[in-house]
Amino acid sequence: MSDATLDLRLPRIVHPLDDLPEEKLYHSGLGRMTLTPAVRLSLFALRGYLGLMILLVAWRVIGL
Amino acid sequence: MTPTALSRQFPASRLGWRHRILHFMVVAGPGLIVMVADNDAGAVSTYTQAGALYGTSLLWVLLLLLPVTYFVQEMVARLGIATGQGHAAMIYQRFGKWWGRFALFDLLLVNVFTLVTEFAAIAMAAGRLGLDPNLIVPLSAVGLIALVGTGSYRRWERMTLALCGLNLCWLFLAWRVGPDTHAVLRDTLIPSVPPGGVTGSLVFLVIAIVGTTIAPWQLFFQSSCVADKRLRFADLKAARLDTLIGAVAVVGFAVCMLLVGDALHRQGGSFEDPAQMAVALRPLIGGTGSTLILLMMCNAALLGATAVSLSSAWAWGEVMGWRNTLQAKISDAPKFYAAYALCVAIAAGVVLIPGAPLQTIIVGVQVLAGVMLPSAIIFLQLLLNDREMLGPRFANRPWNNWVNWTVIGLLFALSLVLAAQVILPDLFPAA
Repeated sequence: MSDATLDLRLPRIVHPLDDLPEEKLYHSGLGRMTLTPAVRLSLFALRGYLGLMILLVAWRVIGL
Repeated sequence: MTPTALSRQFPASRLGWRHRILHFMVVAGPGLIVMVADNDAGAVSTYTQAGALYGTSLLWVLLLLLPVTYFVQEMVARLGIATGQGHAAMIYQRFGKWWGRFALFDLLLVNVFTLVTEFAAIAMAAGRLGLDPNLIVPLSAVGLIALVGTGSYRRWERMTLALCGLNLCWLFLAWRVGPDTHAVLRDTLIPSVPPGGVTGSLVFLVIAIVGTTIAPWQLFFQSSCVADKRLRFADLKAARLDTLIGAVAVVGFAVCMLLVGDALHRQGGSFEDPAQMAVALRPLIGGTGSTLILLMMCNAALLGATAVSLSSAWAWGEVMGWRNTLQAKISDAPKFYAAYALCVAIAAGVVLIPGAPLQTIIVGVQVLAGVMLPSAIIFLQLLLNDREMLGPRFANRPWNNWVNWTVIGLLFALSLVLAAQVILPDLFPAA
């Protein structure tokens, strides 16, 4: 089989920007994420961490 | 048959190797750019300083960071492909306005400071090259704005990939300084503490290396870039390979930078900044080598600046609902381009202020990035476990979660060590 024949039987490569948009997994109807215990715990830990960092900055500012 | 129908009928996995290579070539870009742009001016400074102060003894840290940086950025690419949205948009939509705006504010704050360091490096290198920083810095700012304002994603990507390609010069520079091959292999493969033990400056430098290799803007940049390029589900494998090659490249270039710094260490020279190092190494690498280091500093800063500014503009547009694509002309997405230009202009303006506290800003960036990274990465991890949205194909698998929670734990620990060092400056012995 020649290369030319092979090429005809295979698809041409389409650049993503030249392709039609595909339907993605996110759509606005999904709304907010379900707050499972793991998500709640993670966000709680993040709040604690950020609070600690703010206190640290305050410590430095007062120290200066 | 429409192009989409073609690409869906023949998924990439069923293509022959020639088509796979071609497919990879059209998909590649975001992963390579985000990784190589990560070796920005701050990274050049950090890696060369690591080499100048500790020789090759911290090379093993870079090797450890290779899989870490790949795993984190692979998640980012997967999120972008699955949702067609950037990281900021997803935080805003899935966690609500408060967390969305918080993430955006954090990102913009740390990015503006990071941009200042990019322009500071350009000013520093221009000065050493005998050029007037007051001319070069505004010219660079104009060039950076022109780079994105062509109304074509592809044009921007090609030009940015060309800037990435210039990083290959670091390989030549590393060869030129004649590293001790035995020491390089030993220190890469066998973790060890440098002579002098664990000191405050060593801990700070290791945190800086980690913070430089995995920066907050990268998480936002790659997902937005993937969304702007409109990568499809069938492109995931190629996008992963793009990210992997980028991860190998970023660590490879970082090793080269460290080896150039090591040359100064072997000569017994003192390190102030990479521009001073370039001049100090002139007897070893000649005038051409020295000039090349200064030019590579500028290249790193320009590459970092375009990526960091774009991550800000994309994220800002996602949260505010503006049209935010490089495919749009300036007149069609004015707020997006204005946000990009504003970031660039503020940073260039700060550098041109006489007596601006640039050193304080450079140190502040490392601390800010270190503080912000854990919060940005935790949202990424939660989003990649959002099975309701991503389904089994794109959501994290258990082994992904084990790796990622370990990385997150490590980053939190390093941030807390940084915090402890600020509260208790004598926690670790002085160098």
